[in-house]
Amino acid sequence: MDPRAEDEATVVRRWPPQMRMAAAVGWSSFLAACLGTMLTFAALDPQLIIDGMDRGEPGAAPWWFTRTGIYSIGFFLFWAVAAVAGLLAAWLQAGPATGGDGP
Amino acid sequence: MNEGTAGAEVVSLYEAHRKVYPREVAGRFARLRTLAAFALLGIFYGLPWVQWNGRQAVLFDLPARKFHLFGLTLWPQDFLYLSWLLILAALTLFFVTAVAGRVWCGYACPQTVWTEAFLGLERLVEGDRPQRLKLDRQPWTTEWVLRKAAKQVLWIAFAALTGFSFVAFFTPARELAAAVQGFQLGGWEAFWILFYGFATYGNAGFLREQVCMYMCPYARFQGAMFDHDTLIVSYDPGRGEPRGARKRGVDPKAAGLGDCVDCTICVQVCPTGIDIRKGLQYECIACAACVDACDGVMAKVGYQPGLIRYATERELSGTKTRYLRPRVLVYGALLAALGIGFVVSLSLRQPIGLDIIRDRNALYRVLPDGSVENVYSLRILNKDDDAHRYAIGAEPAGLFQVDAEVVQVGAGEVRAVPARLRVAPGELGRAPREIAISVRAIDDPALAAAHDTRFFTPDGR
Repeated sequence: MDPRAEDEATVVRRWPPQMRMAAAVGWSSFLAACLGTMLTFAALDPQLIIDGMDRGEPGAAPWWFTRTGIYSIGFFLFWAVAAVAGLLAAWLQAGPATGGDGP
Repeated sequence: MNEGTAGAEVVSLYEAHRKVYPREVAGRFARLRTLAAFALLGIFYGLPWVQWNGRQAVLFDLPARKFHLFGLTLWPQDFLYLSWLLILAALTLFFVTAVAGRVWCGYACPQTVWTEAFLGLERLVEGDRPQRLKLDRQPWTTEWVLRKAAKQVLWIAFAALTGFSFVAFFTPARELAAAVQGFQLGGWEAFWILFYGFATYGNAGFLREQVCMYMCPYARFQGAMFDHDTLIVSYDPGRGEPRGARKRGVDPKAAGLGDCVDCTICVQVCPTGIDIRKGLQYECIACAACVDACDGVMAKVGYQPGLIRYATERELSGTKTRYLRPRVLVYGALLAALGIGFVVSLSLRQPIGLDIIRDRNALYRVLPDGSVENVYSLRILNKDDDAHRYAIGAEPAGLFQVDAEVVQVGAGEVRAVPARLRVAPGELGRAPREIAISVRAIDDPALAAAHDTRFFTPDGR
């Protein structure tokens, strides 16, 4: 086999811009969500939410409303909110579809 | 096909590549990388099973809201330490980057380590690079299906183990293992094992170097910490150029060639697929695979190693590298100060917290016997692993009559206690405005905390 043919497989795979943007937004919002979750739940004990839902009647809150459950839901909420911000930022950064000095 | 027919006489090129490629795996940096990967993966998979004083040594017990780190227990109120630790980690990264470039990326980053592990499994099933290339060019033969299926089984099993181990840092590992065996895994635990397993599978199996190129913030800003004295994986163009193939025994100088035989093996071993000979690129994760590969080729053709090596820009341009420079000194000093502060603060940390809130309704109350009373609400936080009974006192000692119960506070709990301080009429002249209220564990007098507050009297001092 020709060594140059092997090299072709070594050529770096480049992603199309949309995929790069999705990856950048997804990952940076993930990091932001980690930070948000940590800060929020260091100060707020989810048990307070569960007790509030129970209203003195233990078991009234749904089974998935445990501390771990609320951490998890909180994390995904943060992730979604941060991703919206990231998508908006990326979209604005891409600039308007047509420039002012068009031909 | 010209080069193919010339292959019999020409050193390196494809024939040599076949022989050198496996040698790359045995190079000194490859050994170091494998060692680091085994150590780090060992810690990740092993640590949840280590016991300390009868409980899991490292457990970020989120359901119970406390972190166990060997003998230390941290509560949400100790969040400061966690952020301090994160800042220390970031500073360490800056310091190391300034001195030695991206060693984090090449040796310690989870993305690199798990990619190495997945690549290892891939090699195990599909063989080394030429065999993998050949396999991927094949149509769907039985061999293709079997090898691919075997690889997927290994990958998925490894990813599932990774997901389990991750969750075992947050919920007790032994209970988790028992729950998995008994098919009684909680919904959220199952979800996170799958989620993390899937993320590992996707990141290490498929995304690989794309994570470094498109997703990693550190890959983008690490360049800001580089200077001319930072160690980077570099190709020595002064020695290598002009590159080109040559026959064995030909004197490169006579042929007008540098030491680079242009075998492209450095490109073939690169996990991010770049050509290091084009100079420093942000895709380079400094894994030094090309260093090992090139040294192997150099040994084979009888040249000195180090055509590609860890070097500084200054060294390549022929001047001396300055290791001690302002950037390194500043990062180093900051790191040392914060590190020492962290250790000191952690060792002086009292597992007790006290907040004092003054009664909002009245500054003071004059009792029928003429003595003056101030009311406070104390919040006592027990950050110890055992419950304690606390007694409440006030400074200056002997002046106040303290009316407060001895309270029992459970491990990790907070209790609010009202406290009334009274000063007898005859003593009023001695009562200062600034006083202190203290709590002390009855069973362990070393466990104490005090807080400044104010005491008001009718004469308005």
